[in-house]
Amino acid sequence: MTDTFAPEDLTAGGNGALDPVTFEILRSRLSAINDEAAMTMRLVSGSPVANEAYDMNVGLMDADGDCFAIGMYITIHALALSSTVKDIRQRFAADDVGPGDVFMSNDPYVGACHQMDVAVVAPIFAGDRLVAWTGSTVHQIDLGGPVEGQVQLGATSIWSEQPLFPPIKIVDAGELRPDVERGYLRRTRLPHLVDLDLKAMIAGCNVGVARVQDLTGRYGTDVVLAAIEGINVATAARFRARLAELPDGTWSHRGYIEYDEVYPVVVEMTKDGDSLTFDYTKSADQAGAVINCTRPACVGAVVAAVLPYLCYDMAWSPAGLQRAIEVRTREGTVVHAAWPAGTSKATTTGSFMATISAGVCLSKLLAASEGHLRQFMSTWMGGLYVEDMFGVDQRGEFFGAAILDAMAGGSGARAFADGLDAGGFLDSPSAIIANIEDIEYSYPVLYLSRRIQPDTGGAGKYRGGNTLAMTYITHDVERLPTKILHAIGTFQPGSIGVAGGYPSNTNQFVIKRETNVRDLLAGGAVPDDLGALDGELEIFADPIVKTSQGPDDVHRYVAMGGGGYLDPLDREPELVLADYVVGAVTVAHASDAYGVVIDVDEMCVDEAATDRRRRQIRDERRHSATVPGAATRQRGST
Amino acid sequence: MPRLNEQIEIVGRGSEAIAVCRCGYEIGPAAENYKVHLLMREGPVQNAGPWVDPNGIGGDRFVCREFFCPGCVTLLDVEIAQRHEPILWDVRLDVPE
Repeated sequence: MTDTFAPEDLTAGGNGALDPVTFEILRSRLSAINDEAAMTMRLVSGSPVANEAYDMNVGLMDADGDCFAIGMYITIHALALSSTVKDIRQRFAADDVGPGDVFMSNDPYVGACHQMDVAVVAPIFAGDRLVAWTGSTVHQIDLGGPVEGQVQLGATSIWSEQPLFPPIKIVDAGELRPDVERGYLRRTRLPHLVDLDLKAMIAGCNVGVARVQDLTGRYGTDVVLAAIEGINVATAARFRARLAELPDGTWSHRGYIEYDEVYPVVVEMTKDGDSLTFDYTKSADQAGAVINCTRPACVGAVVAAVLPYLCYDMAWSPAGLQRAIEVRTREGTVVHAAWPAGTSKATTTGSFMATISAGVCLSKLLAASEGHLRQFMSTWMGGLYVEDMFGVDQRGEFFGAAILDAMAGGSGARAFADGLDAGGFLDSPSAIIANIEDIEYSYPVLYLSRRIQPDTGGAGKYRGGNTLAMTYITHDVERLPTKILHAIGTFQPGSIGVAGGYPSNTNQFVIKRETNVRDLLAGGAVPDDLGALDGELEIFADPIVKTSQGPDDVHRYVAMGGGGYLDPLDREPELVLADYVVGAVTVAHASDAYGVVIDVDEMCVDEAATDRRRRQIRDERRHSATVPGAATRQRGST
Repeated sequence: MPRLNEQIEIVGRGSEAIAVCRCGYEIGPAAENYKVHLLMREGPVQNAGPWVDPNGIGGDRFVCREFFCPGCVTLLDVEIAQRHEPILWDVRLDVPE
């Protein structure tokens, strides 16, 4: 990531304490400190969630808790760290925060995105002067509660979800508090893993503290503080300048969360001059538990969308951006939970859909700009599937895992090219998924396949990125007794298309029970097609399912691709053929969606047949479409 | 010239401004939701693609609305909505006076 610093940005902030060269050195160094803290955390953590799937992040905050530098991982976490620090600043006496202290919290009503994303933050002192904060967060696999893992199925309020702890001091003047550590680990089913992650987060904070102190020692505290403020000023100036180049107007989107009913997440984004307002007040009233997010998470979700769409070439300073962004919410909604509503699955429901909905509006803002059209991206994977599994592993040990392969969703189509197959998801510029071998080593499963699923990206002149489909069985254990499968985007595709592009596929998960898969494996075949297996297909209708998997059961799921852009009938037929050649599109979809007829024997486009097919589709459109009726003509958005 | 996207431009100023398809078809006043002036085909959500809820677990609560230009039948928008929800006014540009 590059930052094109302009001296006038700093001058605009009235900051004369440092020259542009020193500023750039310090800005880059602070960013590198975040990188080192994150790397430390990954290496110390034994959790595949952190080390293999990067479901984590780090951040640097100023003395008041405003986040001026964010790590390149799950972006929403940065605001959680910021909110947590602000709470500490309010509730702890100044002399209760000292050098060597480290605090931790998992309270979403304070700042954590949901209970599983534990925030660990540490003040940074130069001498006796508080100059900044550093913070780390890693998604935890289990922190107690009635149900294993994150999704507290059946919860009706936060009282029946994981225990909360508002900010508490876990390290006091450099000494780990064993009583607090014991109390924390007592509540989890996976104390060894959770303890290792705790130490990893503390280690990340220790690196942040030490390296920033090195900087203040070398350059002087006032210079470092001037650089911190300069980062916010420069980012705010650049961001406002970018906004000023874009058209004014209002963009709206309705995203959906499937749960016990359907909960719309509605946003209206107004861009006016050099400011941006996101209004979520028309979103659905909150559920009792599980799917809501709190206001800090919603604000973080907005920043998580703004960063990749509009800030690709500037320093990622959430505090700088927030000077030009207003987020309006209504307490008691699915994106601004009122106490004591539960939030255990927030990051894949409320805040996730807040990010996606904001992202749809931002993509359409860019689509309306000739000058910035090249930065346009249609909707990225608009609903995340996760599987939490618990049981006894192949070594006879109790284990818990969150399988995050579905993070390899498809990215949205661009204005000049297709979205990326398995491109990741919008919330993280560093999203990866674990190697199959690592998963198989850690957990008692055997993958039959994990591959790009053709036709899952939204059709368009430029199509959305396809996503992955996975198939696996148990391995070296009798059964997996606890599998919690959960997703949004199961009834409808969250990755909407733009300007005539179609949406992606939906999330899907099924298990074929009591199959003959072992016999086929013994015979040398590696069966992947469920249709070719004996057994009974179990299709899950609910978006959250608690089930188990026996030795002959085959689990298959398909994640979500990205949205398309423009009318698919405008796609160059040769591009459709190229997709067919690499297995990205089937012959049937080429004809149905793109009107392209492929001669599979000659491996070429049948131009005459394609011309006829496209005329046929246009005729069908003209004859099957009508002017909207009164019921659907009501203007405005809901 | 303001535009909603590559397909639809805004021509004119103030209350006279209209949305125009790339083919030249005059869709309607820029101050109104352009979609209500287009041809619309509403069908099951499965119309959006072959991998959209293929098992029908969502029943019929969601629909796929495809909006076509009445002039050239280019597909201008695809909206996924609950059946009872009105057409979403997704883009409202500020039109110069």
